[in-house]
Amino acid sequence: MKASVITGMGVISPGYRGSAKVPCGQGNCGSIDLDQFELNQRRLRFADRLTCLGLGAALYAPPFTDLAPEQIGVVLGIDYGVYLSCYEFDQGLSQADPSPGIFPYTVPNILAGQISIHLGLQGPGITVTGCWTAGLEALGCAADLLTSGAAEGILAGAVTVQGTALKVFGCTDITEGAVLFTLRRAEGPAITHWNASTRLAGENQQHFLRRHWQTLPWQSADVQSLWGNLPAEYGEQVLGLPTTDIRTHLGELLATSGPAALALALQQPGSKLITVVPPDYRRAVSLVIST
Amino acid sequence: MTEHIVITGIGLFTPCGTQPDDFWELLLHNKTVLAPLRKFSPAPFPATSPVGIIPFAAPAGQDRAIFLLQAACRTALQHASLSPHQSRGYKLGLSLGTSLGGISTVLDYWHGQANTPISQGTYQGVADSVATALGCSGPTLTFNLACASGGQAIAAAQYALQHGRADIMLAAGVDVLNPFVFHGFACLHAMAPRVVRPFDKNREGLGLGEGAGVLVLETATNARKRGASILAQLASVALSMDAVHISAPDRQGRGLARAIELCLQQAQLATEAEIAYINAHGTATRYNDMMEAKAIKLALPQIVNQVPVSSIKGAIGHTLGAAGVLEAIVALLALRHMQAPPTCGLVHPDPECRLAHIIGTPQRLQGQAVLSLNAAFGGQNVAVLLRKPS
Repeated sequence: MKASVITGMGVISPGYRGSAKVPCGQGNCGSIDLDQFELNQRRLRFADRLTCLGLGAALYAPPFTDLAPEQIGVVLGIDYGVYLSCYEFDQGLSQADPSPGIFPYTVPNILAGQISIHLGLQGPGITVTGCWTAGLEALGCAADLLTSGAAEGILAGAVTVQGTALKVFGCTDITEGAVLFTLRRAEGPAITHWNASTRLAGENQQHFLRRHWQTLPWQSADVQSLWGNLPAEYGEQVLGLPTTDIRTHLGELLATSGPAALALALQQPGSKLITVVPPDYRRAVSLVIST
Repeated sequence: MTEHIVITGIGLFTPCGTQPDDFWELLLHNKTVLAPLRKFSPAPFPATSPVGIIPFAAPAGQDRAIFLLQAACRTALQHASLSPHQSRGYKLGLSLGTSLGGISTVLDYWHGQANTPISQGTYQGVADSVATALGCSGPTLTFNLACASGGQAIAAAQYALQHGRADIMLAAGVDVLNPFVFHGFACLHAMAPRVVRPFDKNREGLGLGEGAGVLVLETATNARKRGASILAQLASVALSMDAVHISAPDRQGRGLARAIELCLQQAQLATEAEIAYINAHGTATRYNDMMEAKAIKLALPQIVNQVPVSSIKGAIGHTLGAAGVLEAIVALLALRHMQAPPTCGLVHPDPECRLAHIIGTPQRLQGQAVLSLNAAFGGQNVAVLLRKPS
């Protein structure tokens, strides 16, 4: 069966930008200069930081040279980043000067639109929002599109940015980053399963994770390690798997936690389970990666 | 072979209330709920711009988007013969499409007027709150494709069911009207100063609305097993991107045409003639309506002059992220009644939007399937095809 094979990635992180290595470093990514890519600057006049990081990572990712534009899609996970433009637009509005240039950027899917315009991609365009889980959900949705044949190639992942306007959400100490994978509909090791679950009112966190992991059709012998943003003891106690909490390496990455965990996990041999949860464990999302 | 996905319930909350019959009557009688804005000061834009506002306030401490969505979800579950107790017995999931989610709550925080938890204001917070209230244990997903959000919510629900991630999925759309949204569209000069006239040669722009729409989706096997009545089959959903402009459509309609073509291909329709009706995006903006007419002509050349087309945006306004699901509901009702509503506000069709428009009175339909279309900021397009249950 043709599956969702990971063939490459584009990364912008505090310590690295490019397509060859994994994200590293914590904190701010610094200035994002897209001049090297010879873009149509007129189309980026009002582009916010979310767009610059996301578009930058998309441009670092290896291109799909052998596919037609309509066969290639974009699936992105976004957390709070779009609220930076919402805040800026609202500031203008309060001074009776709302900006028609900024308003489109208050909609999360403009980043997917900008990537499609600059890379000429005409397949499905999807934006998932979910503060911690959106990145893995985006990869899962991309896998669905590929296995169903709705696309042959997809650029999928997540983008996280910092900003003072985001303090209302309690995001004061986060790491910026954009991690986008190129996924192909092909034979080979790949994303084999994904699932998302919602915690029932009053349900214990560990019980919830146990129930969530049981919904995935895999045997414990099929998976060698767990990666994600949850305390290591959870994975070890419930699944008996060596667990890496990527926050110890990269800090709090919000929606980019899942794709960043996947990028790190791919450096290690063996099949993996990637799981991401928000701090309140209201939801859980997992991917199974076979090698 | 992939399991058929069917629709077994609908729920909505529009300015007409929560009863699908009231909504359907409004549309069939060519009436509109749009009226000049009174809710907040529209300065510096014209106070005459028509909008569709739901005349009910959310309870104190609850975000308005959550209020609308929760009411629509409960109606939908009831319509699908699922009591709250029964629905908890299934792996129930929620796939939500929204353009701005709980932005009203976020704005309140920025303005120092917060009276609802900030967790309700995030995009995912709207779906999370409703999913918890409904006792969902399956996936809770939120999609933001602006005006195409609802279609993607339906697509994701379909995948969740086909892959066994849920037994029953609520595919929903919601958006609320507030000064932020109103001024956003007004500063783009997209708003109609008076009447909303989709596809009319005298159209001047859109009228914003607010609302929520919900479809209850499940596999045909699950529906039969629990004795649910099947309203329609979800035949296919397809998406595409224009890759042309972030806030204007491809004027040749090529992106939306690709979504339609892929949708029909995936549904394996024997012939275009099976399509009984198209519920158009029909915003009443100059470029959207022209683009859409071209897209339909490009994708459906055999039937473009015969297949009845209408838009509901002159009746209830553009409900943004809710539009995709509310319009899929209209398409479904048209398929059930074999009758489609006229485009409210359309009097003199624009020769550049030459389609088989339904004007003034409802039209009887012939065929097995109906198509619902949406196009969005960012150049995203979606086509949803529903079929009579087999």
